[in-house]
Amino acid sequence: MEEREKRPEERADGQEALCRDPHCACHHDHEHGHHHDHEHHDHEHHDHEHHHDHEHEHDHHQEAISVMAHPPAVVGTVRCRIALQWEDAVAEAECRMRAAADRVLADGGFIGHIKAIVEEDSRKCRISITGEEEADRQWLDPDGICGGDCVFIVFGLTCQQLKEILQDTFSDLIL
Amino acid sequence: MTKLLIIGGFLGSGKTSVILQLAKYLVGEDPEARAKVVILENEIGSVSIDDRTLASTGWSVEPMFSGCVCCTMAGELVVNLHALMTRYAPEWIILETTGMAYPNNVKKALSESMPELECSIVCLADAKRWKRMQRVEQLAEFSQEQMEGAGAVLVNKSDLVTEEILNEVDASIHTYNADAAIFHVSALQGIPDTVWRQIFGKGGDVHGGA
Repeated sequence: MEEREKRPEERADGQEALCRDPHCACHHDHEHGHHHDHEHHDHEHHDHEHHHDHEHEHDHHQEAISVMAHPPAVVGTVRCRIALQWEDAVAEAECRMRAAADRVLADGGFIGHIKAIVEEDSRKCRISITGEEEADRQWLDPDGICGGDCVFIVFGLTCQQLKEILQDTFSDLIL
Repeated sequence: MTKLLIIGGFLGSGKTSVILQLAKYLVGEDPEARAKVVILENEIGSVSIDDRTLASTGWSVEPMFSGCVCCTMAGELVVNLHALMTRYAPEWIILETTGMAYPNNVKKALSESMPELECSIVCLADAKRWKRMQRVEQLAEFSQEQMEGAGAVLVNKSDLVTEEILNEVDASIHTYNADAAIFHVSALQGIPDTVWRQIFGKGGDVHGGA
């Protein structure tokens, strides 16, 4: 009953490479080298410290879409407004999250957790995606314009890759 | 004396859902007893999601986001713990770590800076994704380090996999932490009190019973 595999680059040692960022300080294969075997890890320029630098990449929406590296993951945040009625807004948010999640997977990434909270007045719905399966919805208050905050924590992509995915998927929901 | 319970486990393993049930167990049926529990919520993203989930169900929640308490926000954790203990004098503080934190590192750091604080770790493992994670080198390393120091491990989403997979997950977890008691649970279906009773024991300490 294990979920269907769509995995990052398989390595010669049977493990999967995660990091695709040539500027990242982690010890994993990068885009330019992921066809090499794991000896590549011992190369000088990869033998550096694993910093927890949080380099932020903001687009022109400054606060609305932001991406930062938290090695070995990249973390993206989207703050949007959805001009739909409540249940349609939740469905739209879930649809966009699913679309972005599929692109993360198609780009060879691994989804850590994609989660969002959609709110309108006192109503809230939490949406969660951890892979290829359907999103989980948790109606926190099952009782216009809805606000949605969404966090993407993924592995195996660069900040730039994730930023492009988020911009392509959510830019029309940013006010 | 306030006790700190650190809830660890990988991203998406179900920590928030489990905490909702754990908090209910700790206060029992008495709604007045909710003051006994405060939740400290750490999230890595620059907006918080989980604290709003928890707060909407009426719990006292203190958010810490945009960083991780086991590294970038270690100092703030100590400040916040002192503040919560002063403000609420709770019986329990439940710390939900980010899915990228190493709970044992947090516990070790706190044992130096707050030696008076009684501190235990319960970790979650996602039964559905565990085997897949073990095939990714860095995630396998994550899993190993996240399980260190846990008195109990809840294998969540156990209703979504076969018995055979559960046995493999158990064996894998035990290679990382041989002392941890392992419980198969489904936060979605509800965690029975018998599980919590085994975990907390008579004295309220986290230990195994399985």
